[in-house]
Amino acid sequence: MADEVIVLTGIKETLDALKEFDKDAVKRFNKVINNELRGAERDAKGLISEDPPMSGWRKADAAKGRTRGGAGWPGWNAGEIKSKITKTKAQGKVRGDYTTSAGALLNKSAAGAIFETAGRKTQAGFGGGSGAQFLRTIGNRFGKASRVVWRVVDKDRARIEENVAHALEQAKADLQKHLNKERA
Amino acid sequence: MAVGAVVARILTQYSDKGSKAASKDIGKLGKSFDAFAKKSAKAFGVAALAAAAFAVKIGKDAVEAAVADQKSQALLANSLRNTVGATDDAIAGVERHITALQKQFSVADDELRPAFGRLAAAFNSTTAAQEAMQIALNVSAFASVDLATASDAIIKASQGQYKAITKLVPGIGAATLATKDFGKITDKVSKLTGGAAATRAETLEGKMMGLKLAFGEVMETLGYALLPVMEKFATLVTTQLLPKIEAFVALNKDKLAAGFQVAAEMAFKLLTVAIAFSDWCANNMGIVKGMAALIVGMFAVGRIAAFVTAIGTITTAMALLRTTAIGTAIANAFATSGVSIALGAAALATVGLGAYTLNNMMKPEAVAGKKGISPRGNANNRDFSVDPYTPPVVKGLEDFTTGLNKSTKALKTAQTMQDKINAEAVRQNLARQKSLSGSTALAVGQGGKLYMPNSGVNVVVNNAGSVVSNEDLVTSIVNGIERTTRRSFGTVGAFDRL
Repeated sequence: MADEVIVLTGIKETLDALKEFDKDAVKRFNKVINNELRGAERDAKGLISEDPPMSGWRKADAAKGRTRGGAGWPGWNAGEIKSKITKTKAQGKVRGDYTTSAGALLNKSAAGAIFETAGRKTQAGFGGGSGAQFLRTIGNRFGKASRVVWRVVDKDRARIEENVAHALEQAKADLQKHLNKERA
Repeated sequence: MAVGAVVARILTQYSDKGSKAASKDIGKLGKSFDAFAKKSAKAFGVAALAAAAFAVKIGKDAVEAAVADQKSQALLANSLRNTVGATDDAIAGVERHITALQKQFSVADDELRPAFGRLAAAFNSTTAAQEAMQIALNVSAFASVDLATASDAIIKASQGQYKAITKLVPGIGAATLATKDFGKITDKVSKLTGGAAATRAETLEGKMMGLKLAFGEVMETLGYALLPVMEKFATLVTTQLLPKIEAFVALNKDKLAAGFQVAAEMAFKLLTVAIAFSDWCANNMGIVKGMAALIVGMFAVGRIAAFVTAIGTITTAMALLRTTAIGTAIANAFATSGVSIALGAAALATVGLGAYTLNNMMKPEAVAGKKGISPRGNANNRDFSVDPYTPPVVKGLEDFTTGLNKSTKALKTAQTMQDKINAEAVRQNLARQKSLSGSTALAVGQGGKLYMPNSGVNVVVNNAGSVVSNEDLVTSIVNGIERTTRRSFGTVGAFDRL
């Protein structure tokens, strides 16, 4: 995960105001965001293999769940995992630093979430038990946690932010131009 | 956004949603701080007052300590100048020495200076005095006496009087004393008492004394800082304030005296009246209670004053009715105002209570056996005259009552006249009926039955159907009569005989 993020300001306000003057400019801005998110989504889905990451990871859900709070270990269904990797522009909960999401990738499936985050909190080799070997293996094969959507975001965030910020500046410039024209 | 999903933010934007809440919270916090500030200001105000008072106390003590210290220094300096011809530098050196002794042995400089002064005078040297002072300090600690006693004993010893020193330091020995050598004697004394002062300074008592002295030094230092201020203040008071006060008093002494006299007289009068009034209240508690009831009643009457105004309107209307109409109209109007009359009665009762109380108060004879209103409790001396109280509402109610009585009287008159009219009408009707007796009389009853007086012809009108007009009724009657005459006389037209 990246430690630094660029906080964009005035997206909603700019677009709301710009909508009054130039709807095409709004569309252009949205197109930039959608393209970037779509590309990230595509890249994230590309990280999901058809075969399970490990041989013992069955493709079907556990018939009788005893783990994960009784839900059982989720099967590796590549289609479901991919379908549940989506993009969103919805505003999430406002954090304590007064920021919220303007664009994000979601990994909503249970198997996808396990593959994404396994070993983030519990390091392989600690605690023993059946999970230790799983964590070691998945770590050895696919690297540390953040293996799907976060990997893509970490890889492409700078480029995406730059492109979106540029588009936003363009939108602001368009808005200013319209405002100046209106004032004149 | 999905719940439970792994969310990887790509774009982050600023939202003022939380900041508004935070701003609101900060606003509340600010208010809380304001409230706290106000409260704490009060609390700190109290503390500040206490601190100010304490500061004044400290300042006072500091100035006093500084003054005492200054006096002590001045005396020592004067003594040294007079006895050993000490220069200012020498005096300053002595002061430094005394300060060092004070810190080292926890002995107050106020105690050191007089002793040093006497020693210097006795030995005619500040250096010798310093050495003797060291011995005296040890003797003082050894014998648990004050420094003045120890130093005096040393001075006496230097003059050949050994009783005091042997009393304080018993182990000097007769042989040493017999030598009458002050050097040997002091050496012996130093040997016996050496280190006593330092040892005493290391004890708890000595340390406490050292602490006290250190605090005293601080106070003196503070006092020295305050002294110029105090001097300036004293100068200001002396040179500016007091002369102006004196000038003011000189110019206005007569007026001031007269004013004080008037104020005193007024105060005396006020006090006399206050005492007399309280005395009157105590002696006339019944009247006081009556006044209270009257005041309460006046409030109640005030509330119904508007209603009484309405009563006045009703009274006027009824008076008009009395003069313009007689009979059921008045009776109906009277009946519909029954509720108002009841309320009016309540108002009357309320006012009556107040009036009754007032009358009791206004009539000395009504409160027989009790004292009247007097500031001095004297029934014959009515300094507190009170005008009779006649509120407007009383007059309105009186008018209402008068109108009501007149209306009632008029109603009775109307009823009497109506009775007379009815009686006359009945009488005239009977007379007419009597005049008609002996001829055919008509009366219409239900079912066609007609009951007539005993004499004359009985005519039965067959009008089983509804009679729609007088003409129909007359036609029916004529036809009936004709039938009757045909049966009686056998011919048509006999009706003309009637």
